[in-house]
Amino acid sequence: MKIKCTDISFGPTPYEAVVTIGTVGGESEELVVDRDLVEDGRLDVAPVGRSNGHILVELPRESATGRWRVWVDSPDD
Amino acid sequence: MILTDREIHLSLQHGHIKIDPPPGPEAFSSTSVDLTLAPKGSIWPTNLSVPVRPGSVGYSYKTFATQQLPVTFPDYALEPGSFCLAWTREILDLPISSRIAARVEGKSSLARLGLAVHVTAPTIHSGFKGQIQLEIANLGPLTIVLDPGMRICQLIFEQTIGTPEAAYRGAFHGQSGS
Repeated sequence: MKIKCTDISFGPTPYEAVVTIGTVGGESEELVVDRDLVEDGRLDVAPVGRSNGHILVELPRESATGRWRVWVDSPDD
Repeated sequence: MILTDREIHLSLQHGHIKIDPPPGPEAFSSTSVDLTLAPKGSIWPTNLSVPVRPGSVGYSYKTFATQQLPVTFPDYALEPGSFCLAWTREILDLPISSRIAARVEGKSSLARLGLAVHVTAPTIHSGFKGQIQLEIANLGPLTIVLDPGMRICQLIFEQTIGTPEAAYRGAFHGQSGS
């Protein structure tokens, strides 16, 4: 499953990127990821749950706020 | 063997692992559960003139512990090189019959700032019940402010082979700081 990144910038190494994604409630999460996980401005994540039309996804790495799992809107929204 | 999120969920459902308050679905990763910071901690005064000698006969941690000063997060800021004791907000209970032990570990988001959350004592023995004491050290060059309720550490659960002879009844059983 891929979710849209609201920002993509250079990471600490050439093989990494710093991406920002939006989460339910208007919050955002920033994380460093392998560049191969970002394609066409979308980050590859793993869906692990669903509730009230939202999807709980596991991020490929721990975010800057320490989160591995965040609620996001369905990519179709 | 390390428990995955599925096994952790099952263990919580069956009471083999008890966490109070229970972690939300976003607290999990594939192989861990995040715990959060309680609002109160304590620090050692820097002007103690008596050296601590933990290997000596009659050494009493309690005696030294009376010297600790209470601190509250986020009012207390960790200056570079500083150290404080803190606790998880959650109470962990690992019934000895569950055959589960755990390790408390830091989080990479904090480690990259230079923040350590334990000082070489990560083991949560089978049978433990209580808030988990964190020995927080700022090894980095930045002043770090911690907020109560923030994700401060993660637990890795491991299955033990067999059941220990007796429940853990060490000096820190049921440790609690707030």
